[in-house]
Amino acid sequence: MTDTTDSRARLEEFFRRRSDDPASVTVTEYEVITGGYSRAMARVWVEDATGRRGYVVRSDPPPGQSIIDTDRAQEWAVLSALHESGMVPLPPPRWFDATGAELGSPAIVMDLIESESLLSKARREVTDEPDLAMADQLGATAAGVHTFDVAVLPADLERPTSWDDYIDQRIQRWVDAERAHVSSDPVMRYVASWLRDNKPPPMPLGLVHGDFQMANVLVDQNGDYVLIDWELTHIGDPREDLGWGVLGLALQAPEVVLDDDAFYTRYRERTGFTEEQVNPATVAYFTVLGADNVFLSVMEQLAGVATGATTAMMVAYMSNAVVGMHNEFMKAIDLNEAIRSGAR
Amino acid sequence: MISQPTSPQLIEAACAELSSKVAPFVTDPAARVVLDMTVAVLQGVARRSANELAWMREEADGIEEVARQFVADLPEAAALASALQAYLDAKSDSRYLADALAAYERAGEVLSCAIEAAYADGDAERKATVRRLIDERMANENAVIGQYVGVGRG
Repeated sequence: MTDTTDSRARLEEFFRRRSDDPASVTVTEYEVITGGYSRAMARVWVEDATGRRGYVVRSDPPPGQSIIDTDRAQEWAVLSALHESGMVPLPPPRWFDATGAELGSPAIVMDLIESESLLSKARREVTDEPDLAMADQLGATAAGVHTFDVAVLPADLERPTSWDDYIDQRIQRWVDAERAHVSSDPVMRYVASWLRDNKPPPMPLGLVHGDFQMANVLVDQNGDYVLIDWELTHIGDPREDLGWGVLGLALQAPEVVLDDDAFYTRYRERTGFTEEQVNPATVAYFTVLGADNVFLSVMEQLAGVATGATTAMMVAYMSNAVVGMHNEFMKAIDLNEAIRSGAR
Repeated sequence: MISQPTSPQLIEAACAELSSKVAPFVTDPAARVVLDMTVAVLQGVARRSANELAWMREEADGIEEVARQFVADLPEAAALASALQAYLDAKSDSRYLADALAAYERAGEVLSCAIEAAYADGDAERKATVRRLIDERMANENAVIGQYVGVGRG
């Protein structure tokens, strides 16, 4: 089902154009990466006269085949700025086919890192006891992103004017998206009303990864954590990442027990944020608010199935994911209210 | 029309064959993910086809009852009153799915307006009432999909 022959041929040409010895360049292996729901991904191994190297190719799938529509040019600009800074661990970005003229669709090529995802590792090593070391390291990784100097990020990355305006705008997106959707979803309107009614203390806005979850954390051969999948990166409230991480854990690895105290303590020490700002209740708030980037995109793509614009099963399947996310929103709301009322 | 096997039984039969006789021979990882997603969606469709007309009507009736009370108690809730009136004006006994869906959509807008009215008013009991309606809606959603598991994630 995957047209690997055409992809391999295009890639071979792509790498030859970037080689000092084009005749020696061969794509020896090409492997589609499954598990992501947005971009088309593949691992590629290339040999030339100087040796063998691995890359990851991250490209736009055909229209109607993705659950999220994002901009590769912006992702490339962010990746380049982050890599150049040397402050955030990510696979080195190498090349960008902005138009898709060479690779068939806009695509980013980055170094392949010998690693496994933290999600796979956690599932493999799961125990009944909270994983203190993992919580600690994950907290440090998040802190590294959230204390990054946003001044060095691309100038066209939107800078919100204030925390209040930013949060109000994010809440309004839920209402606007529901009204524009092909069918009513009162859960979205409930979420918006609840978010307006329960705003947490403000915080300095900063770099937000946008899809901070265990599946997007790679553990390299030294045991270091490396972050991938920066397509939803923006400047916002750092608690969005923490909230989204909690949601991902609940949906994808509920059997993995992280230690909240270890995570939050380490995170607050590294960021300087206060306990009033960052705690399980405020993070639960952002589990709901911060889900809009993915959830609203999913709803938009799902509408394509209802209108007949797409028959992609990846998109149709998101009708199940929407239910799973509804559940997590309500759990987060209940948790936030329980903590604030002193019931927990 | 042929009523037996039922729609859910036919869909379940398709799922069973796909899982036991097709899936073991699908070696392309991307194709396998699509197949697993297809089976998950079909299993939900089987449960939905058995219940959705009744669920939509039951939910709509519950929403109507609450909305009538809110409209009586909250004269400033103009959007709710308008949505409720639109729902009542178009209410019918049609048993066709398209008509039931349209009525359910209108009921959904009534619920959304009731939620906003409850939060604008701030009364804890009204907030709890709309939350109960949301929970009932989600109970039906959950009955369709069972436990959500992200197929292919890792």
